[in-house]
Amino acid sequence: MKRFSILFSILMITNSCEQLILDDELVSVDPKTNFDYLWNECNTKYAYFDVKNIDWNQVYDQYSPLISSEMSQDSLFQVMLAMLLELKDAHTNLVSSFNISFYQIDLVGQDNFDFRILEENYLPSNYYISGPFVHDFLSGEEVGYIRFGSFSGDVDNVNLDFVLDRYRNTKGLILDLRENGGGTPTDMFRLLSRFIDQRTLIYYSRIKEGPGKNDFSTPEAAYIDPHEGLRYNKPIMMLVDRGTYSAGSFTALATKAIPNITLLGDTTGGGLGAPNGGQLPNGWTYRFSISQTLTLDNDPSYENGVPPDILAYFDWTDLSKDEVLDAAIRQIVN
Amino acid sequence: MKGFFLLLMLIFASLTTFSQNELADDSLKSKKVKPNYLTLGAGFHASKFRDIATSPLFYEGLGTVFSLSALTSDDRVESEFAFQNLNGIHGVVVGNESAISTFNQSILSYSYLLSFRKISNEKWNFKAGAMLNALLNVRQNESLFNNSFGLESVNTLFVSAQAKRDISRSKLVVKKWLFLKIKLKPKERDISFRFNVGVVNNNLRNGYAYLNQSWIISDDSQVLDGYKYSFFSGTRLTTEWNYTRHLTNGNAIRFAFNTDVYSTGNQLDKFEAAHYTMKFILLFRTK
Repeated sequence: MKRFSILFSILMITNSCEQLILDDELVSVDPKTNFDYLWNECNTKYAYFDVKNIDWNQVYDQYSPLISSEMSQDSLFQVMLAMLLELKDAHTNLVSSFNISFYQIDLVGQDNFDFRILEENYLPSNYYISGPFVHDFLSGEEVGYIRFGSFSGDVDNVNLDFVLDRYRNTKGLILDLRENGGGTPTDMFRLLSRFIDQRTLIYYSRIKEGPGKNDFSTPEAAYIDPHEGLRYNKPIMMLVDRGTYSAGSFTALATKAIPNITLLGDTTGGGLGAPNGGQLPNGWTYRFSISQTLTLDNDPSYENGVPPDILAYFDWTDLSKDEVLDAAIRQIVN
Repeated sequence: MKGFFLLLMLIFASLTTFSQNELADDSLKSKKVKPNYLTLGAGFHASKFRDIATSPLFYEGLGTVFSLSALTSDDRVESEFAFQNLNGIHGVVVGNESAISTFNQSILSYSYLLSFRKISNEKWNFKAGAMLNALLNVRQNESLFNNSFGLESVNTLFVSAQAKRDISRSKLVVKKWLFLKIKLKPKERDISFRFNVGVVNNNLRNGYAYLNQSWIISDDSQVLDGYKYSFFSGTRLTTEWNYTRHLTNGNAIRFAFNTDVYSTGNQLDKFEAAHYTMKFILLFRTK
């Protein structure tokens, strides 16, 4: 009995510590609880309401009446998906075990890229692949073409040195970032450091610091330092389109500060906000943008897309030509 | 109710601190060598945590724990400089949804206790003192996208009270059970309970957005970019139950059951955790 009392005391004391300090469980599959939780998370942390002219309270009024306690999980997902689509932001997702929501930014504009056309009409059959770069000569040996399809974090000095050394005697380079959906911005710093001769301010970034729509940190400057080894300082045409997103758009924005790089193609998809990550009371997960990237004159509006210096579009009536690529070649050769 | 209970404990803790004037006046005069131990411990833990900044759900799981310390302990004084590492996989399941998080915790602590000679006797020993404790949690939860990495440090000054009961068997005892005669040899052993209340609770936590922007503005990502150190923020309680068996060669073995429950103060990104640790500890006498 005495030992039981001691054991009971131990359990009581340890259990009371937890009850004393930890708050109650918040797990819930109630549709309204989860809808409100997600709406509130966006309301206090999403970074681009003003830039995109979104009235988030009006969005609540629009979608909240669609929530009922009897609705299925799939129906709840569809309502929350529709609410998130109002952000028009491909950095926004809702993830459950049965569905993932996404915003198709590349469908905002026309398709401007088909690698098959390049393979059939421009590149040799044994084109080079060096790390993340697909590349070869175009227009005789006057132009170096480098396809960079994803910011996978694989850009390094070995593959960059090889590529830039191979094309060091060309008149110019074409860096093709069409349909590059982004990845890690680290690649951008490594890549662009090869095309500058001095420390270059490329943009500013600020991050949410409070629940108010404009509660941001002081903008912090982003610089790129020139690589100390092999660099390329001849003209570079960077090809972009609506599918150029996130780190692709960061790179496109950065080129505005680099004189020898010209942006050519369609406006990029944007995606200049860093996406966060979180979980709802029912276990679904989500993400949305919580920072703003500003141009050198402190404009956050390039979230809606970085405009090209030269507009060029694909003509799908002729599948033997890449008109965007042709325009870039002309710019270099002529 | 919670506040009342906390207040009671703080008062109790304060009393034990102020009461140290009553400490044995001969404790510092003693020339007796205090036993020093190097302790090695290993065991298991059951834990739960919740980081409101990223999820309203508690992640629960099991794992292993390892500890190492330098301990000085006798009837008058007990001091310990300790390191503990706790490792585990934690998860949450809600219907068909599930997520897992790795969890690694390292703790450095120093504690010092002095005895109340006036209320201690041969069987009971009461001590009070303080403990400094620095805790670092590192977590990885891939389902949280760019917020997958979690790191927080909780630094606490505790006031501590300990009660130890000598439960040694001083002479041979013979017991009969059915037709068996069982001889219970003399054993030196004790059981103790220690209660630590955090009176200064500081913590290092992520900024408002949780994610930082160092990876956007430079190719050299800074893990602690945007982190903020908060003073007097949060609550923490720990308890320690120890059963110690002293061996004839001066060494000892110990079974320990510890709890550590804490919460950082900010409602917006409160971090809460409870760890229940069961350890088997070897105490090697070094002096």
